[in-house]
This record gives sequence, C-alpha cells and structure tokens, in this order.
Amino acid sequence: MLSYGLKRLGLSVAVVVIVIAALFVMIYAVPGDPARVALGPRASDALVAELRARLGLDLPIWSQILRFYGSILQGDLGRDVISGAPVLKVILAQLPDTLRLVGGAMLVAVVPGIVLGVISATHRGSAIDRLTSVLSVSVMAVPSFVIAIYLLLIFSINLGWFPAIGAGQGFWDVAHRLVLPSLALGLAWIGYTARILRASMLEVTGQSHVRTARAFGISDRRIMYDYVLRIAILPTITVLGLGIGQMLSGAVFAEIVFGRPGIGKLVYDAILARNYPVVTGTVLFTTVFFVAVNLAADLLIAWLDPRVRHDLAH
Amino acid sequence: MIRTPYRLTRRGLLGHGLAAGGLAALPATRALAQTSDEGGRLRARLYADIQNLDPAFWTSASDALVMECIYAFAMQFETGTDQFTAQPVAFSRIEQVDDTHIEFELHEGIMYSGDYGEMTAEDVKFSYERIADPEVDSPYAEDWAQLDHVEVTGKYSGTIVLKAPFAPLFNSTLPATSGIILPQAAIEAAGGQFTTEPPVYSGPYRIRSWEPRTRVVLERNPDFTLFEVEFDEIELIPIEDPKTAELGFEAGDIDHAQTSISSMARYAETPPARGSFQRFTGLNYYWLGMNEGNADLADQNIRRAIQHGISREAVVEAAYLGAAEPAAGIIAPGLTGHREANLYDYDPERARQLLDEAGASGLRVSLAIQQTAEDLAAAQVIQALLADIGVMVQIDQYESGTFWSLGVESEGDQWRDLQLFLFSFTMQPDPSWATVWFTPAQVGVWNWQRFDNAEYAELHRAAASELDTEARAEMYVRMQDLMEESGDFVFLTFEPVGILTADGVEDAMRPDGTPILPRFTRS
Repeated sequence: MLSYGLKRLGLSVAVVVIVIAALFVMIYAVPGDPARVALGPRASDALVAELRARLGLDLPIWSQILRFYGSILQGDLGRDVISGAPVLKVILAQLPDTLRLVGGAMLVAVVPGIVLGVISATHRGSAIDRLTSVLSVSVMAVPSFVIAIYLLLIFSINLGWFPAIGAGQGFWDVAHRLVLPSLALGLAWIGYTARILRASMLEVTGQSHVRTARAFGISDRRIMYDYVLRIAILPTITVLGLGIGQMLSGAVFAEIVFGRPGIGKLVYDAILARNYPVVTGTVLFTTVFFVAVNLAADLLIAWLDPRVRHDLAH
Repeated sequence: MIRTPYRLTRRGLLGHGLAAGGLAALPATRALAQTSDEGGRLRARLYADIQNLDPAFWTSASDALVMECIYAFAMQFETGTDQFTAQPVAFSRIEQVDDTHIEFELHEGIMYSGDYGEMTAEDVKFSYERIADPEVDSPYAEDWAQLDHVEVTGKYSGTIVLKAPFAPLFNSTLPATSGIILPQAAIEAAGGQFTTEPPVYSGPYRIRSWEPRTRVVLERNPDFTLFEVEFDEIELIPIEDPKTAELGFEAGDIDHAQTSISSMARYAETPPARGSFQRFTGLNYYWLGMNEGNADLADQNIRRAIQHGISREAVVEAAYLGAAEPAAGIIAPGLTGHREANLYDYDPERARQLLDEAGASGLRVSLAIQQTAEDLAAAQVIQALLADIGVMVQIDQYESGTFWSLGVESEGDQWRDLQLFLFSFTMQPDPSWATVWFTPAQVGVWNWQRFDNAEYAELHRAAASELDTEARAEMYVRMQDLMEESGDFVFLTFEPVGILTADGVEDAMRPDGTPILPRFTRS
C-alpha cells in the first residue's frame, strides 16, 4: 500500500511539472506584452522595461521555467503584476469562495445522485427508474450556464428568493448566496452520478458473492447497502474525483454569472490582463488540488476495495 | 468489522427538507437605500476590483471612483449638467492671475486621518511636484508637464507656477486624480508609494474593509466637512460583466450600476421595476482605423474609397442598437473642439470610382476586432458595405490581450500585416487626451494608423498652451480634419453609457455618465 501510494505521488508530481512547463510554453506563444498591458498606455518605456526585467520576461523560456520551479520550492509564486501583492496571498484570498462553491456543487451532485442511483437500481424498469433516466439525461444535456441564467431569472428576479450576485458575509448569508451557483454547477452531475451508480449496482448485483449472501438468507436491504453499494460506489468515487476538475473549470462561468469572487474568475481575468504570475500561480494551485483529489480518490478506492488491497499486497 | 452505512431515514429527510425550506424562505436582500430613512448603505457596481489608489500610479476607472470617495479633490465636476464644469472643493479659491500663475487657497480645517493633521499648502506643493517629478516616473506626469513649481505663500495659500500656459489644468488635472492633495509624511511613511492600502484619508469616506475581488466597504469620514454626505456606508461590488450587474440590480442586490450596451434599448423602453434608467454620451470614442503602413493600404485613394464606402449611421445602428449617434471626430459633445461634420461621407459611387483609379478592384482586406458583440455587429455591417463597393473583408476576432498588441512595433513585425481595425479609446474631459495618441511620437505605439502629420503634431503641442477657448476649439477641429483627410480614420461614435439607479436614490452623474458617489442622496 505504501509503495503504491509513493508511486502515485511520484506520478502526481510529474503531472504538475509537465502542466507548468506546458503553461509556460503557451504563455510564451501568446502575443501581447504583459508589462505594457499591465502598466497601461501612459507608462514610460523605462517603467515597462523595468517590469519586464522584474518578471523575468527578458529571459529565455527554459530559464523562466527553471526560475519558476526554483521559486515554487521556496514557497514563492511571485507577485501580482498589477497590485504588487504576493500571488500566494491573492490566491489564498480567493480560494475559500471557490472551495465553498465546488463543495456545494459536489453536495448537489452526490446526495441526490446517490439517492436516485440507488432507487433506480433497486427499482429497475419501474416508472421511477425510467423517470430518473430521462431526467438525468435532460440535465446533463443542458449547458450549465443556461441552467445558471434560468435559475437567476426565476429564483432571484422573479421570485426574489435568492440574491443574484456576491458571495455574502456571515454563515447564513454565504449559504444563501451559495444555493443557486451550487445548483447551476452541480445539477448536471446528479445525472452522471445516478447513471454510473445505477449501472455499477446492477453489475455488482449479478456477482456471485451477492448470490451467496442471498442464499444465506441475508435481507435484501442489508445486501444492497453492505454488499452491493459498498463495491458499486467505487467507480462513482473515481468519476467524482475527475468531476472536481470539471467543477473547478466550470467555476469560471458560475463566478462570472453570479458575480462571485473565486479562483476561476481570478485566472480568467489574469489571462486577459496578461498577469502571468497570477496565471501560473493559480494553474499550479488548481493542478495540485486536482491531482491531490484524484490521488486521494485512488487511495480511498484502494482502501475500500479488499480486492485492490489484496492485489497491492501481492 | 461491518460498518453501518448511512441510512436515509424519514426523520432525517424531514430535517434536511426543513433546513432547505428555511434557507429558501430567507428574504432576498433589498437595497438598504430603499429601506432606511437615514444613514444606511449605498451599494454600487465597481467595474473591476481596486488595484492602486495612489494618485501617481492608479490604473483603472474603479481606482478613480474610489479615490473620489476617500480623498478631498482640489476640484470636482458639477453633476446633472451636460457641460464639464469644475468647481473647487478642497480649494476655497482658485484664480488664474496670468498665463502661468494660478493662485489658490485651501479651506481651513480639512483634516487628514491618523496623525497627519490639517491639509496645508505644503501638501499641495508636495503632491503636484511629486507627480511631475521624473524620478517618480508617474504615468500621469503629463498632467503636470508644464508645472515649474508650487510656491507656498501661506499656511493655506500658494501659487501654481507653470513653465508655459497649460489649458488642460482646469479640465483634466485639477478636477481629476492628479489634483488630489496628500501629506508628504504619509507618503514617506508608506515608502514613497502605495497600492490598495492608503496611508491617509481626507475625503468624505474612508475604507472600512476591502475583500479582494469581493467588495470594498467605505464608511463615512466623520472629520470631513467640505460637503454633506447622505449615506453612512458605500459598498462597492466588483462586477466586470455588465449583464451580471443588471441581474444584480433587478434582484435588488445593488442600487446603482452601469448597463451593457445591448440592454440599453430594452431599459429605455421598459425601465426596471424598482428603479430608473438614464442614457449618457460617454467620452469613449470609437472609430475604424486603417494602417497606412500596410502595403495594400498605402495608396491614400484606397483608404479614401473605404471612407466613402462606409455608412456611419448603418454601422452605429447595428453596433449600438439605436443607443448612440454617429460621430464626426474623437472629441465628445460638451468638450472644446467637438466637431459637428465629417469631410468624407458615405458615397459608394465615389468609392468605386476611387478604387478603379487606384487599380484596386477586387481588393481583399482584414478587419481586426475584439470579441465583443458591438465590434462583431459593426464589423459585419462594414463587411457588407465594403462588399458593395468591391472590397472583400475578412473579419479577424481577437481576445483583448492579443488585440492590443497587433499594431505595437515592439511586439515584432505583425503591425505590417494589420489593415483595418475597430478601436475604442477612453479619455479625460480635455481634448488633449483624445489627440495625444495620434502624434508622430505614437506611431507604432498606440497610433496604429501610422498617421504621421507634422501640422497635427504642432497643433497638438500648441493647443495644450492655448487658453482662448475658441481658438483652442478651432485647433482641435483642424486636427480632426487632418486625421480624416489622411484617409486613415472613419469616426464612428461616442460610446453610450446606460445607468440604472434604484428608487429612493438620487444619483449624481458627470455629463459622461461617471458617478460621483459621495454626492449621491436619497430622493
């Protein structure tokens, strides 16, 4: 198990290193002088040149990449070109809002998704199974930003139940303002979760250990929760791990439409403003987060599934 | 060990349902301005988050908006009129005694926050000379380009001494951020400059809290006495997307916001349920530029043909949906030098004839635009109009960062391939701010047309020193004539500004639709 964990960790570090190198190449290829864009039209050439030197933009690309890796090891992600604030501080100020949003969306995806998946699997072929199937495909087919706008128009403007913009202050205000963006971001994942769990549960139900349990006279309910769901949930965990990456990228639209602060909006604005220290710092952060979540999902699966544990032990 | 899985019980389900129901039943946030008789909080849209509140280094309109709340300006524009007229605020008296000497006197008792005491003439001297100082390298040094020195004649009085007459002084220097007065001790304590944490306040409000990219909360400054302030707090919410701001306004989350251009016709026809809509003509000027440095456009007759081939009315109608008027220059109505008529109007017959004479039948050109609905609509109309005279246009859309590098020489040779482009510049309310970008010194920097005219350059220099308004206006009109005669420009419009204000709030707007938030009151 330990060697498996270390191997996966090594792979994760390699992913981060490659993503950052690719990002630098993309930045290098994009036209537009970050120093000129950041300082505005009235800045003198001397000021622009000074900023270019400070950002290391006058260095060859390989040197910029190595310099950035060196800075990461020292915990320094550079400084925001425009405000001059440390990038780490800028990111950490935005992170809680994005984590809350992704967490809320995950809650929206997981709780109803698992409930519907279980109901569909246990009532296969019934009206509720067919209804769940149709609804799942429907919400998956509608783009999240369309859902977001309709949620706003109906629940904020027409009914006035939820605020339209902002992240709020204090627990209840924050929770209140989180409802619509979380729904917009997580709704499509209810369908994914329910469909995957249903298919997985039906597959496990036909396996021999379930038939054996039935032969021992164990109740259907206990078989379903202790023997079927425990194994069937594993592919869902993998998919939800990947889903966090999707939700992180989807956070951009939710943050724009709902006027919320967050990492997605931060990196979007930074790309347009050619604020590269913020771009690289944020991409590094989200890559590490995504890789860590997937690593955790893999380790969780290895821990939950006795067959994987057995394979790793031998 | 057998783990007991989480069981979904009826009691649990009811509990969660009640919690969700309770959350949904919370009332939507209403504009405080509507619900409180006095004090209260005004909530307004900020176009972007604040980045730098140092008068020598500010970067955006949002910074300027906040600075107008937290610092006592030397002068301020009147609101509710269609002319840019500035009145003294921190100054109790300001008088131009001759072409290069301006006497001023400060109000007594303007207090800085902290231990920085009272505002004095020494602070005026420090603040203005600081921006002009080449060693400070302020991007706004041009605002004080003609400053020789400030002479202090008393605790509250002094004389601004110029090297040469400087007409923009009362239009875009003293009533703007370059007229802000700060104490030397505070700037030195901050290390010479600062960004988002002002070392001192002197305006009607001070910053109570700033959550980056979330909100800036300003609270009333009890020491400010220069004019009455109505709201106890102003909450500024950075919302870059105007559509989001509109939704926030309609949901009652904000009391004041600028709309998107595409929504202006809708709001003009049907004002929002809990507020009012106003339209202003902004200072932003919008034009089609032609790069005379490009081989295909080097012949002036070809550029003239394109000028004649474009109907401004049709382009502006398509891009601004009836919310804007065609322009005849780059200096907005209400400013000195505003031009009323174009020299080369829509005349497709003449355009075809010029193309034939130039031997350019079947010409193909590219039109570079940004990814905005207005640019795309305008570009499509231009494409159709030019197709009618035999010029095929390929529309190339770019995201903003890439677009703004297309004509910049220091970015490489790509400027040579640039042909037609749609451009929009913003400015301060002095004509010199509009004309400065088209001087020969700006060729390959922001003058992407590569318009290079010695008479224009001389007029630009001379007009800045011309204090006779009529003579100055003539100079700027002539400069716009020269621009159009070059064939490099098709002036399109001045961008409209749509403003939403909640019921119960009386806004205070400059003629260009810029809000002066400390002057907002209850209606």
